[in-house]
Amino acid sequence: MNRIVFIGVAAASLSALAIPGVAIAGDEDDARVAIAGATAKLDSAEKAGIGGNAGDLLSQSRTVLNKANAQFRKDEDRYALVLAGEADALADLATATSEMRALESERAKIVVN
Amino acid sequence: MKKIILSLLAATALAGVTTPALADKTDKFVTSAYRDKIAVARTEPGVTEYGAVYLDRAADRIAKLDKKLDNDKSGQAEAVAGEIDALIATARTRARIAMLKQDVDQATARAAMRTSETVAVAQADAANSRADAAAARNATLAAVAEANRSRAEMRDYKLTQTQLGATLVLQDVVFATGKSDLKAGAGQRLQPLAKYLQANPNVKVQVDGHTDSQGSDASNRSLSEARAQSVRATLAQMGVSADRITTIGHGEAQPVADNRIAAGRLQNRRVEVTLVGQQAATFAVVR
Repeated sequence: MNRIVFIGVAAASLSALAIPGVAIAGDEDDARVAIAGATAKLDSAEKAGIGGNAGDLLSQSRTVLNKANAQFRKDEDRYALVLAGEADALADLATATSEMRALESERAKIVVN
Repeated sequence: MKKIILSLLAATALAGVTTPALADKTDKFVTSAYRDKIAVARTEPGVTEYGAVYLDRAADRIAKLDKKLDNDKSGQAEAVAGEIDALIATARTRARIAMLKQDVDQATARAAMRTSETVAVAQADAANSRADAAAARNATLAAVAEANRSRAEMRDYKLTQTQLGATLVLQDVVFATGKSDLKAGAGQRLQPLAKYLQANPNVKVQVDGHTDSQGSDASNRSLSEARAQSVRATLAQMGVSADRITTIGHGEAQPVADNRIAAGRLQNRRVEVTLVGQQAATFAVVR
């Protein structure tokens, strides 16, 4: 009886350890695509000069993207994937914020004039 | 030994049952809070209209957050939560952008209207000024033309320069013999002079009456004065203020020809009209 119990416990422990560690083949691709998408979005935002109006958000996005790349290099694909998602969303927010601040400035100028 | 093992197994099993239960409760609280955040954002003006795509993405990530919270060993849930927060903020920002665009458009339209009104007023002012200037110029030109025309109409008079001014001579042919009244139709001869005086209101006139030596000195003086007065009255009837005209009767005192011959006496019987201070030569130029 004891042996059966021990074997059961050992098997359960082993599976608990092994299953999350096994990388699913699709995760790496998903993470790679997500990182590439976020990188492209961020680069394009920087080229468009968004840094002037929303530099804080852009730099936050860049930091998260760097973390995503670091996790990807460590084969933490799922973590890299969610970090890339966050970086992507922050790049969107930076773009929108920059647009909003430019419009606020334009409106202020028109009202003054 | 058996008891110890069984106790450990029981404790492990209990922990296995209770810990996930507690964690699950916390997870549900977190995901529920995010669902509420999204729901609140959807009720804000313009957010659903302009930020729906971001809110939909955020709602989509709730399931992922739930899953990561269930089994979060590396802080992945934090990243998902950060993504959701960013998406909600982007949705709100997009709504704000849409409203700002409307504001800017309206402000631009108002500014353009103000500018066009200002330009229109300035243009109207400029047009009025131009019209006023043109009217003034035309009036000046008309006055100059009238003055020139009236001078030109004086061409039939033989003006001579005297010390007093430009003088024209009306021979006695405009008067009946021995009378001071102008002959019928003789007034026409004074028409150009009257027009000239109307066009040149600053010019003053002196009318001098003269006779030949026939008759008494007193009657000649009286006749010459009466003829001068007659010319003055005729000019006044033609619209020239009588105040501008002075008259003098010289009688036979200032002959210009020999009174012993008829031709000389004819020349002496005359009325001289002098445009005081004017140059006879200027009328000659007009001619």
